[in-house]
Amino acid sequence: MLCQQCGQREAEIYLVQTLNGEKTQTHLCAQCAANSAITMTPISFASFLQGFVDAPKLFGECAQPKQAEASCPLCGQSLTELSRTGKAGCPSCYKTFAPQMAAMIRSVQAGNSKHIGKIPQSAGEARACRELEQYKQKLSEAVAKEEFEEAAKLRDAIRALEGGTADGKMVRGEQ
Amino acid sequence: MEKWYEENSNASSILSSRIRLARNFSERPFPKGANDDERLEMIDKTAKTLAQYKGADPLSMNLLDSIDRVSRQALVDKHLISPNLAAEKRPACVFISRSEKTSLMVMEEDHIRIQAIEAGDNITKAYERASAFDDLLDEEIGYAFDGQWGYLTSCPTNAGTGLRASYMLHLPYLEAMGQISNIASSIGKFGYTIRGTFGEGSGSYGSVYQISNQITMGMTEEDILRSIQSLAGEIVEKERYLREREVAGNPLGAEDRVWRVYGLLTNARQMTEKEAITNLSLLKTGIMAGIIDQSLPNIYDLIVHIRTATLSKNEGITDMAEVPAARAAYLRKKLAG
Repeated sequence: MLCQQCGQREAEIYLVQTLNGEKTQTHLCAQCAANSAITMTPISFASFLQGFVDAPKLFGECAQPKQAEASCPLCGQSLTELSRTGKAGCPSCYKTFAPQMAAMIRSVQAGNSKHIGKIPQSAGEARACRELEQYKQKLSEAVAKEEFEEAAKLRDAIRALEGGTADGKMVRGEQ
Repeated sequence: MEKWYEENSNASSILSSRIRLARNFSERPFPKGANDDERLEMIDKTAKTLAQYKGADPLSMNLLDSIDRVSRQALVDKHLISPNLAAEKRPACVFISRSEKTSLMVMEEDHIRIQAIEAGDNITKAYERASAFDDLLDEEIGYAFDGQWGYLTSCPTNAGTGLRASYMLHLPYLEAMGQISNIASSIGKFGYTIRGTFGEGSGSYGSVYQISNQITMGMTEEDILRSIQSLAGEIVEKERYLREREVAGNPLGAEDRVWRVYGLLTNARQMTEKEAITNLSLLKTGIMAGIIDQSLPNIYDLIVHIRTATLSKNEGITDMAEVPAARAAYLRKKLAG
């Protein structure tokens, strides 16, 4: 197929981008891709893990006053250790050092910081949240298309889910 | 049961499709900080869960300390374990399926790394298999997962989907025309890498390259698979175009190169691993260009078998000085009959 930018050359690159939660899909030829203003320049693994110049600065910007001495309750990793290795000591580090993990993730994942893929069966809460997001999305689409009956059903389902979650019960709305 | 590399086709530039999923237990330190007891406990839990799998391609459990150095290298060569795991001195384990299409590393950089390989362009099939084992393990283990950041991994470069999708491609003409670095920079902008499979850095040989995604968050698994499949297709199409153009431009030169290599492979009395891989790669190029008979044995299968670790293990060689002659003998037998 032809490049979506110039409409002249053969598209060679299929690009899927998620910026600020919005997904775009583009087919570009090599030239337009090279000239593209939306290149992502992910920092390479090696340069990041070797303490690429951003890392200490990155952490300095996000460190909360109390965090300097903080260590993870599960694995005992300190903030210093985290900034030295660039790796978490355990899953809880992601919560303990949330601002730093967020900064690292954004910088190695080309600005992305929200997982939109598979959710394991065991993560019930995350599944319910994703379902709620999807219902809300469908609701705004239904309203835009003036499908008010559908919209009403979705609104009820959303209320049931939100009500259920608030009580600690998982109440499934009508589909 | 056929190994995956025996299913390979000489007619395709796509040698294999590979999926790797990184997963972790939720209430344990990542492997680097886990003590021996914790590691053994997690290995045990994984083994008990995998014992439930009663499929047609059974898994064998291999504690790392039961695998000798040469066997470890053979597993690395076949991409069943990483060099990282091969070097591990503390408790670790790898589960390998009979066809070698599935391997699960336990206590590598993450607690569990599920890997699925398929011959040729079959990335979706590989993903489905990896995902099935993924679901089986999650049911018993309950992975470390966060609503915002997805699957939590030791290194943030793997967080989110924890998915590394890659293709192994045979690209002799793109390589000869100096196009690999161009490909590297244009796909690099979109979060993909390409690197030589055999040898290190600029010293790579055999014209086999691996492309894989670097970004694991902010895309769905389907997005990643679709993108990389499309990318592999585009690269392979470019390779085909260059091959046809170059062969048409100098048919005698192309034929000569291939037949000389055939002569060498069917007559030499000793050969190093690097020389064998380089020559076999040229032979495969000849098959793809229609210069030499397609009924020759599966070239990639030959490559797997002539690598030093695998060859010495299969032939019971203990004195490494005997390997070059054994390799040449194996090739003569396979290629000339």
